[in-house]
Amino acid sequence: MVELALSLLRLVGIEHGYFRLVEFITFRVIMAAITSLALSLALGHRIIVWLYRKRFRDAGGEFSSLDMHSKRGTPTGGGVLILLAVVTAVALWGRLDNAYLLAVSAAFVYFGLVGWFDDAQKVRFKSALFGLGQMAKTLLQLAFVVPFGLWLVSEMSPLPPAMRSQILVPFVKTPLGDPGPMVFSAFAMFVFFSVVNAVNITDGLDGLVTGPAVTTALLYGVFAYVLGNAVLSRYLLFTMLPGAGEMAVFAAALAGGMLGFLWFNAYPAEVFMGDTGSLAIGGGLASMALLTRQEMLFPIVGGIFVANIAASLVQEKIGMRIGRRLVLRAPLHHGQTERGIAEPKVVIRFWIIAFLLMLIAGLSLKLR
Amino acid sequence: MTGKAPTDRPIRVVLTGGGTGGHVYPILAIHDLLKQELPIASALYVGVRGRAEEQIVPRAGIPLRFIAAAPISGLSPWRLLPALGKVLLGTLQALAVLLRFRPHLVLAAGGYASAPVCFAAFLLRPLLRAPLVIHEQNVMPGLMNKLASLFAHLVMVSYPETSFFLWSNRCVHSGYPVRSRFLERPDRLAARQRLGVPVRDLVVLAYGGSLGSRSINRLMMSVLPCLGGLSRGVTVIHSAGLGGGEYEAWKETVGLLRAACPPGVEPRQVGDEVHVTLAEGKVTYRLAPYLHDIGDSMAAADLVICRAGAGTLSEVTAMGRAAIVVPKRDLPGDHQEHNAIHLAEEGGCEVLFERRGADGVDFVEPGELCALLASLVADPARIAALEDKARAAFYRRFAARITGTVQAALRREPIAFMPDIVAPALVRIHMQVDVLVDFLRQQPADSFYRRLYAIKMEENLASQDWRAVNVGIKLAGALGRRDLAPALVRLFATGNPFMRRNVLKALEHIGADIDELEELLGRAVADPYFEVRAAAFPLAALHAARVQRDPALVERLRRAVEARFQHFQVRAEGLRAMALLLPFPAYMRLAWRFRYAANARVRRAIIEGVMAALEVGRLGERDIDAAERLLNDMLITTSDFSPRFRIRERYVEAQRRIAEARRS
Repeated sequence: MVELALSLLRLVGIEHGYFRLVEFITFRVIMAAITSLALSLALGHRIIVWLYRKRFRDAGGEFSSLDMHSKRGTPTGGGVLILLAVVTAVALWGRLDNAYLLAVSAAFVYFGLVGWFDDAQKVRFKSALFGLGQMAKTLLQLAFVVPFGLWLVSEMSPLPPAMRSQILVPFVKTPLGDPGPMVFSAFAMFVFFSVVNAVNITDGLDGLVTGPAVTTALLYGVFAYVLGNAVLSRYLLFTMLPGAGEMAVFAAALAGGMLGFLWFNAYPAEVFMGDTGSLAIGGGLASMALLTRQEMLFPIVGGIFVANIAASLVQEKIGMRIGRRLVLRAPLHHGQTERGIAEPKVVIRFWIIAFLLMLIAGLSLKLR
Repeated sequence: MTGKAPTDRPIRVVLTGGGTGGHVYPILAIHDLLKQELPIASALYVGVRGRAEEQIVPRAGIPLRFIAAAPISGLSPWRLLPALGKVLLGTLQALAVLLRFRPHLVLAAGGYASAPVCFAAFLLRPLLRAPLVIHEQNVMPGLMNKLASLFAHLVMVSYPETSFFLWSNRCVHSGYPVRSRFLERPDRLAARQRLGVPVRDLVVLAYGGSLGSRSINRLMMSVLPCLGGLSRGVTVIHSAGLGGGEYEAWKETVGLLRAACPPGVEPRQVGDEVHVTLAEGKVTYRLAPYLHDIGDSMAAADLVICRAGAGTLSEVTAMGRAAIVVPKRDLPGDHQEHNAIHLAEEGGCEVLFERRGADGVDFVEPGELCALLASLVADPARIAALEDKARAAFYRRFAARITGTVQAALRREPIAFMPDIVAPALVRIHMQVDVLVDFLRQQPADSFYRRLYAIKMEENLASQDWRAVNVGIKLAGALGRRDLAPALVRLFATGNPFMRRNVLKALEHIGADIDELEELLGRAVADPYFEVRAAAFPLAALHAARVQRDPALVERLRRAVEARFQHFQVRAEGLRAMALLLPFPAYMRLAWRFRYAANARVRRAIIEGVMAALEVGRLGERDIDAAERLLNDMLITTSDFSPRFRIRERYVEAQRRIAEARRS
């Protein structure tokens, strides 16, 4: 939007040298990050008070350990702050005619709304356990995931036709195969759904999801930039995806927004992001992963999310079948607190792991 | 039709709600209340054909219109679609009715029968400006009411806890509107004369609501033989109810009555009732299909046998009668059972819990009722006490509350809604078994909850599903059932890991001596699952004196704690327990090895073990020196901590002082 404003000014005859900066993606990326960060810092307290007064308060998970008891009454649904900051930043600095950017933003906003609806139900029921029914939540998610999966392999997809249904693996130059649009579409839907729920599950300690989410967003932002840049993509031996670079603006805005949220959410949290935040972030990350065709990189860079959902599934489906725990606690961060490690320490340790995973995933840019 | 809501000009009211009498009667009662305060020109009742309202409303002299409706909760997807279609049709019909009648107020009782009218009223809001007021009678609202509450101007609830379950936050605690008949001081003598019942007899009224209760009907038939053995003459007034679905209440009960009569004794038809005299005239039994004026029979009664629904309990307590309540089991959240216990704990009624038979049918042990009747007959003061306590338990301000709230709604005045409340106890109990276990352990020995959950425990333990048996094991521990200890030990041998762990925990809660304790502990400490090994230690510590007499077992336990690769939880529990099982110097040698353990829980356990040994007095002079050396050398730094929120502490303190200041 800033670009539009500047071109309007240009039409009227106002022109400055540094107006041209806006045409550089890197400039817009950084400005988006700064904007969303600054905006979330500025609006944070006001949103917290608004949520508190609207009775959007955490009712306390009845299962959690004793310290959690003191978290009762903390405003939840703070994801709206992230939503506002990111959407504003993207609208200002992104090219809104870019299909990649629009798709990623649509995913982000849609899942944010689903999450908001779920949080609203939870506070209505005044307990963390009743929210949207499982079925309703799944249906609402699928209502986006299925069309997205179909769109991804269709003629309307911004991806080059050859790339649309290939299986690409990190560290390997050549695609593993092409199972055809239908099969791949189903696979993409599965990936999308899993990522969103993996991020949702990981939101369990103050600031826990922010670390891995920021590193994942940054990494995919870098990939988006590289893949959208003719020179870099050729140098690193990737097939270029024209226009994909715009997703880096979203990634930067997301990272900035989450860091701004972290300002308030760090332990002990003054606000929780709720499903509004975790579903939105999941939607944004999942769509970026699929649209940069690096979804197979997610188990590495988003390894924490994947490990958490795998642990939860194993514990629930297999553990309850055979009658014993298989992991000390699922999700994994509760296992750490169960061992007597303080919550903020667990969070930072997971951030360290996320950083490490980001570096390893970054290797796949060069090491092929 | 525009806006200003009049209360000085005559108003038209639409009443809706039905399916069962439990919905119809309260709405009629509210209508009666409002008639006294507001100028109601005309009323119209909208209901469903073939249900209770068809029988009840015409008698009240209110015109009745029918629409289509269907319940939707708990339906399979196949059935859901036609049901939704019916609801849609009903809504369209309701729209027509409302447009023709143009009410100023819509009063709904909840239940699926009122849903179409609620939706229609909401849709017509811009046109009619009629506030939709819902009254929820039960503690747990049905799905339809939860949904409809979002469309209503406000919801009046009979119990404060209900506001937790409704989706709307606009709730007012109004109490339950009983019909004026039940508020009058009952004249037992006059009522008996009116009904033609012997004045000196013990009069028992048994009824299961407008639809009847299979459980109560069969119970009454099965106690017929013992009624003759009571020390007073007995007259039983039994309303079989209208029945529903496959249950033909009248037909079955009459059949059972005939079968229960001794040879030569025949029941005779009196009007639409069936009467029979038994035990040489001592017992008079009157079986009716439906009692329209239950108030008279209740006034005449000494004892009332009934269900624990909101309406029934309200009517009984309003009039002040001693009730033997038979809560219907397996309703959402067990709410009838909780209603009943709540009243019983205040001394307002007796409770008989249903059991589930092998054929899946719920029943009450006839022997329990016979014994209860005998004890009540022998103690008339007890009956009087029950009546007094019941009367005291009833919320009498409902009339003012309801009329005041409705008037405020009509005048568009602001209404003081209930603030958010914490989840009621019955919800927390049901969400996690461990919460229930803690709750039961705190209950006194003669608590009704113990009786209720003893029944559920027996049924769980007999189940085929391991998850149910698991719950049964936990309940056995919570209820402290020493008699079940051998059965629990047997379950240890056959159960899966969770069950084995819970058996050990249950035995720990029970605390009694177990026959093969040493063998059990030996197997437990060698178990492949870590939680089982961990649970062995607190149990061993509990029976420390006995375990110490088995050095081989103590050695096995010690080896398990010491083992190179051991789960931290097992090691921690072990270090806590071994302080009470080993001679202290041996314990010191064991604990010394773990004084720098990476895991903070393990180190904390050592300190707790030393403290436990100190408390029990196991430490001699030299032992204390050794303990001190260990503590001083130990690694104390850890990240395991508990936060304190100063502002929360101040807040709680301030609230407490405010409450005190209010009181004085």
